[in-house]
Amino acid sequence: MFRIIAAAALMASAAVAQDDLSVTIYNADAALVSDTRAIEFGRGEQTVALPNVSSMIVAPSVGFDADGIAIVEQNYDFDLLSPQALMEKSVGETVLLVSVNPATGRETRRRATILAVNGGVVIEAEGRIEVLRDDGLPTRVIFERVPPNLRAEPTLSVTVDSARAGRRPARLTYLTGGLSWRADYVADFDEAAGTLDLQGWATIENRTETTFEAASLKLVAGDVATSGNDYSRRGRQRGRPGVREAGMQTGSRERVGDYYLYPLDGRSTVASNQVKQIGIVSADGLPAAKRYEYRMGGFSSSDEAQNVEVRIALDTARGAGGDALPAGTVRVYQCDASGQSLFVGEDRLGHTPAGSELSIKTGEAFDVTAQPRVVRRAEVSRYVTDTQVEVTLRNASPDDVEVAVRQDVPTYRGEVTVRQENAPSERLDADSLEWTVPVPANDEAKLTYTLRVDERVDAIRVIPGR
Amino acid sequence: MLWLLAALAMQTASAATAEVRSDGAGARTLTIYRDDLAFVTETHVVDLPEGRSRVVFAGVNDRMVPQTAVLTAFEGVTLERNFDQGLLTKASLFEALVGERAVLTRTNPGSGRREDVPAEVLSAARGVVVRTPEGVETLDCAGLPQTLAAPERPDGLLSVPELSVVVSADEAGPREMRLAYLAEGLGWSADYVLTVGAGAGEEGGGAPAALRGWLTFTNETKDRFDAVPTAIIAGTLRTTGDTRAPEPDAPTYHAACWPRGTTTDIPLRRARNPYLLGLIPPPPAIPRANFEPEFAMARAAPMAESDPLDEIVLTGARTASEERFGDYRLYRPPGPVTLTPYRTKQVAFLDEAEVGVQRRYDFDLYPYMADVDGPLTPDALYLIDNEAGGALARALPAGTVRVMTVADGEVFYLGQDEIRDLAVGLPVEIAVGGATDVMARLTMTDGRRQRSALRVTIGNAMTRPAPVRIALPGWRREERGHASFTGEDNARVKGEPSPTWDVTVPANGTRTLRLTIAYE
Repeated sequence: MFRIIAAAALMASAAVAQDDLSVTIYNADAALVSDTRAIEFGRGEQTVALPNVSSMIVAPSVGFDADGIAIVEQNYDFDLLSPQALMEKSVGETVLLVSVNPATGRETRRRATILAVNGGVVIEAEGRIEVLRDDGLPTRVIFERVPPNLRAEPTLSVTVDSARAGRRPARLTYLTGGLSWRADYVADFDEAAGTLDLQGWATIENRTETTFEAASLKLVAGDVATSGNDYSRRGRQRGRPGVREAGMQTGSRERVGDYYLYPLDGRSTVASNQVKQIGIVSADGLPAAKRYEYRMGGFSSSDEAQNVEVRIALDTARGAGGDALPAGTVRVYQCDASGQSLFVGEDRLGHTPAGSELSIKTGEAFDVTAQPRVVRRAEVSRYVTDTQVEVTLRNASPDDVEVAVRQDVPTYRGEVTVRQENAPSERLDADSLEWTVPVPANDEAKLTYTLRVDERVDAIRVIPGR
Repeated sequence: MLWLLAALAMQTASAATAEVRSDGAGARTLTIYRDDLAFVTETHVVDLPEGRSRVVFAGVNDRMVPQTAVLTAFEGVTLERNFDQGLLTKASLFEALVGERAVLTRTNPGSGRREDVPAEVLSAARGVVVRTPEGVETLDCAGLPQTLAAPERPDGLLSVPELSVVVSADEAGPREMRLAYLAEGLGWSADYVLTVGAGAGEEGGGAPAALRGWLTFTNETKDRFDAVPTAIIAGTLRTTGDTRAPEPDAPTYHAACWPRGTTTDIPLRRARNPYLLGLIPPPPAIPRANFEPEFAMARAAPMAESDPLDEIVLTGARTASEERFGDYRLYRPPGPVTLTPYRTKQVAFLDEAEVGVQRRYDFDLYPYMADVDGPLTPDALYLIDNEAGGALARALPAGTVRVMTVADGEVFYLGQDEIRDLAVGLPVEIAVGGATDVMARLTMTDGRRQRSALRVTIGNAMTRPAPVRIALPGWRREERGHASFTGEDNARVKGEPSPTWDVTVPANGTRTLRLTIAYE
């Protein structure tokens, strides 16, 4: 485990006081580290070793900058001081061998020169060429010194040309993997009051071997491309889970580029192998309502009653303080009969602009079920089909409920018309319809409808929008 | 040098933060969901100083999901929460010793003489390199018994992962903190035993049978719950896969020695950057202790048990209560529950001595069955009456139903089936296997394109009439257009997804159905 220390501590004696270690963490397993250190430069060309950088540094992203400095070259040196590397870099050196006779305990000391380390260590000792420990005897090898450029940890080295000598601050910036963050929300849903309290925590995870000590932290919310991740190619547009209607309000937060920035107060230490949580947003009393949904992707009968989805429809326009919500997981809690708050389910949330309408799925209703049945399918002509569907909605709970039943019609060129329905439908788009069906307590309701799909080429025309 | 700086930095960063340790969880509650998920609440009493302090919670569940932790019932301000997993292992201990002084102890294998040598640790990257008074040496490459000892325990390396919060309190004093979190490794399942008397439901009269339901709790964590108020939630929760307990980071020690022995046992190439090339092996999974059921009633093979029914009589008197919670069902065992690590436990939640049971033999017919040689075997079903207003009228959480019968004082196992979450009023159909004495033959008597005809002959070799259901799922979605079925109209069952007929086949007799299908 390595530690990166805020330079303020390093420079306690030097009279340099400034911003020192700052870490900007992105959602997509990446962070930008800005590390200012006071360095004693000589005059002319020299190599500056910079230990204590992140163990998952992206070496090509390194930037080094100080007053009066020109960069000649920079290297990231991975030659770790291991027993094997020690031996390999000691070819040609003389070492001391101490062999122990396992029967008597007598130690034999002799000097040897290492000739080659290419699978088996070949040595020259007392005028003979032999393989080290080929006899199986315990043998200590004592080296005189550690070869140069072998280090206990990965080290960045920069060759610079300095115009003047003297101690001055130098800023090192680089990207690193192994650091990421996401949001975790605690949502307390009060069904009777129709409100939801939302508390958002930033969960920062440090999977590097490095501890970032007393750093100022900033979090960037948004899908940022890094080499190799999903956003690094164009055309990767994707849906944002949970967002039903995106808001058009600009969030109150600081923005950078197309992303939102969440600076965290004070300095925090992000330890190696630590999960750290810091509160970032909270909103109380958001208007929220429970909703039952049942969705069919095509026409088919079901042998068993299906439990309908339970969702919470949520409006973030009011109360949220105009905050955008960074992507994360929403965990919903509700009180049981004894007033204890219990977990009811979780859903993912995409990056959500302020003022969005959200639909969070918490689970399936135990007591409310839907069972579709294709009653009749008639071919009116070669390209025209009528399908009659009956959906049996059962409610075994003591409360009256309403179920939103949605039928998506599997056609991409046909015209869909309603021939018959026993409840008014709302057309969501050209080939999706939704019925809102009341189901009384401990009772059932039947929704029936007949849809005509006309796939004749001349039938295709623009369908009026909803 | 590095160590000194670290200590200095720690001081500046957390000068004003005192550390307070809770002694362990006080009053706890446990709510168990399906699929290995539980919600734990616990009370910790801590003596807080005024201002900022870091509170470390001891005794939290080892499979907790740290990002779900919530502090309730605390008036102060929670500044941050941390879950530290940097564990004390051989590898992390050696890494922490880099730049430090340690003691190298060698034992001479011949003479048995021990010697302690002061050693400065130079590196712990893929093997330890130290500087001794004699020169630079390595720890594990000599073939000698030797070990490295640290003068004291390094800071920041933990015995178990640790949850802590940084809080700010207005005034000093003892404070009660309620901690709530989700944890993996705790689960439950429902198991039912339907005991039918000899001939139960066979005359079609719905002779009563007994239905008992058991909640089986499983605890695959290292945590012991001692007399904890426990509830289970039945129903399907949405989960995202984000609620996962982290695997603790326990790096393994791996010494890359110089080649030993002959040239054949070492690869020639070596990794230049073990971190970037991913060559450092991942931490091993934490081995789990043997998982054994505490109860005699096995989950898998009831037949192997001596007498499962005795168990039920023994403990069935105390049953869990049921209530609605949101859109789920919540069951509370009659008293607090003790769950010991790596054990299962069962509590009764349903004990109905007289439920209505019907028998039925189901044939689902497909066109290819006309070509099958020999008679077709039906599914033998027990239909449990769970209509509102009936004897049972209970919500049934998903689980396994095992059917037993008692004949001449001996217990027989008749088969088992899985049920889904079933609300009151939904059919409860337990298919226990194939029936021997009821059989059918399917004959296509007419196979024309616009009209085909079927003959179904059902035989009953029992001494009592057999209620039989014939369904034609194979003709349900006819691609040639809408299919209309005629024949046996009196026996036709309306509202089923497939064309369906119910008939009764007389004892030791046969019944023939003639059906025609016309396509539009």
